[in-house]
Amino acid sequence: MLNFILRRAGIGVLVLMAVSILAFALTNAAIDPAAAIAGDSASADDIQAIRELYGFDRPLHIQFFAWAQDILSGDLGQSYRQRRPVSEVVMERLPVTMILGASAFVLALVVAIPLGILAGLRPNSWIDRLALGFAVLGQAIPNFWFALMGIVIFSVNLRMLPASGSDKWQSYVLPAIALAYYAMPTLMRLTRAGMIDTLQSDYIRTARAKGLRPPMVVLKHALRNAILPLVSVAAVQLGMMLGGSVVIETIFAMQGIGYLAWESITLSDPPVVQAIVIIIASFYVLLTLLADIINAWLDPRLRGR
Amino acid sequence: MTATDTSTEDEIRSAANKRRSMISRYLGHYSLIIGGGGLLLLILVAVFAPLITWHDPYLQDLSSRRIPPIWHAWFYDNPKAGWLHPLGTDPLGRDYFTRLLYGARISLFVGLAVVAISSVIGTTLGILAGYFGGRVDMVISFIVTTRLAMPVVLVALAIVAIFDGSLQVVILVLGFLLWDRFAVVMRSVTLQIKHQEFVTAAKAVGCSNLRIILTEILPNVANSLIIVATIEMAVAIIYEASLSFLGLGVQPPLPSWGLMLAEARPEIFFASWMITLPGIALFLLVLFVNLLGDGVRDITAPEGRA
Repeated sequence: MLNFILRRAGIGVLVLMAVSILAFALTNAAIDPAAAIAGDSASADDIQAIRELYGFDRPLHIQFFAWAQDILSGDLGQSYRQRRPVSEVVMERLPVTMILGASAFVLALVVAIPLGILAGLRPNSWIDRLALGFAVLGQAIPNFWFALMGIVIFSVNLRMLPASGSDKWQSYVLPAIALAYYAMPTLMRLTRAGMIDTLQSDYIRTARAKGLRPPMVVLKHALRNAILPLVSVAAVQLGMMLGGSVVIETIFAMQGIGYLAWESITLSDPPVVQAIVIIIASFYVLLTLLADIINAWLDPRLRGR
Repeated sequence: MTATDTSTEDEIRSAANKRRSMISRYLGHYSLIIGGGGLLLLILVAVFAPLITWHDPYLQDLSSRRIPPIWHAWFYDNPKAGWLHPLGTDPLGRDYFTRLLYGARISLFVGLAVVAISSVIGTTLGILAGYFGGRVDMVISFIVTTRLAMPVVLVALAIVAIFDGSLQVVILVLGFLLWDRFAVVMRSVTLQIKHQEFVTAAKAVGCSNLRIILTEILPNVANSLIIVATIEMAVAIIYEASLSFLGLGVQPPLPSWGLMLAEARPEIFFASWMITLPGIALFLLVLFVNLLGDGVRDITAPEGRA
């Protein structure tokens, strides 16, 4: 088991290294950071001075190693626009995204899993058709439009929820729903498919033949195995929610890292963008690692792989 | 003699039954009919947009700004609404119906072009990983994992910002980002078929790897390829709309549905129909593409129905 975890963690570290090289290349090779810092009205001399001050005149690979070394020691660099450490800027904004992502994730699971169980218990019944219908329709609605319609209905017409900001708990309701509903169809379908699969297996028949009460069979015996495939997908979905919150946070002007990323891109502040890409990638790597470990713990056959 | 007769008769009958069941299977799948039919309709609408509408999608007319759609004349007695602009006009006085029609061109073109790029990249990587296995598989799986760890919207926004937004940049960026599902699915499908007898036979005859991949593997992964292509086309359409909505995608004055939503956003308090309409268009297009994919999956892999 320890071997398995170490191997997976090793791959995760390599992935993060690859992502940071790409993030660095993306922003440093393609634009002139000195010109970006200096702004539009700067003269050539100013830009040259900034280039020397920040060390942009060094070869790219040396800049990269210096940058990577800084990151490893926890220094994410300086924001060009805000003139303070990137880590400070990002840390201020991280809690909002965390709360938003976590509440959307819980909401998605709380709706999708029971619905998937109900649909899987009675395939082709009206509730199954209803659930699948919702899944098909839901998957076709772009989530930023869903968010806009939420604003039109609940903020503009009914005046129940705020249209922007992230200072009150009410501000999180619409964004969390908009983020969550998009993950629901996938989670619902997986739960349903897992349920149908396990309910046909021999041990469920045995449990039923023993005379266990049906709810007991479903919840205690079937559900455990049915949601095995859900673990890794749910981890990926949570990672996507943290990354996909760019659009939703921007629509609602929430002070999270998604909105910060959009601001930093439009204001050309590469260090912040790089940091956010790496942070989101780290979350993704950590979450998939966690899912691998949970799966290997639940199903020992996976450990050999 | 009679025995053979009945057996051929049986064969004919069973063949007819098979054909009938094939047809009924096609017809019975509402998703394929609705999805395929709807998509065809939208393609026709996009292609023949100039014949359907008499307005110019770019013509601004400041004297007829923010005209509400026709149902405002029916239900709210709004004298401004009329048949000249059945779906109203935008804040610059451009006919909304016309812009929606021309917007279908952009979404369809983006969807198809992105899938054309990403399917080539993803399928190549996936088949190579599945067919050769070992080190090749390890390297390609690593590339796929790295790609999955990168947040698509964020990376796409950053790249588009660097190269300035345009239709071509958006298509290239999305094409080079959205190949992961092709790679993952093609890899697992190739793994399933590479040990089958016809592949072993081809190897035994001495076919080269390239020839086996092109003539034995590729035709057998085509079904999965089509299904993944529909999924990714829908995803690409939504991403284009999202990028354009955030101002880092297709640029004005092009009538991209995402851009129309962005332009309608300041009107949210006064003219919410401006936000409703492009969203419904996006919803329908994505729904049809998804339904088409579901239908193809149902017909080609009934066991995979879920």
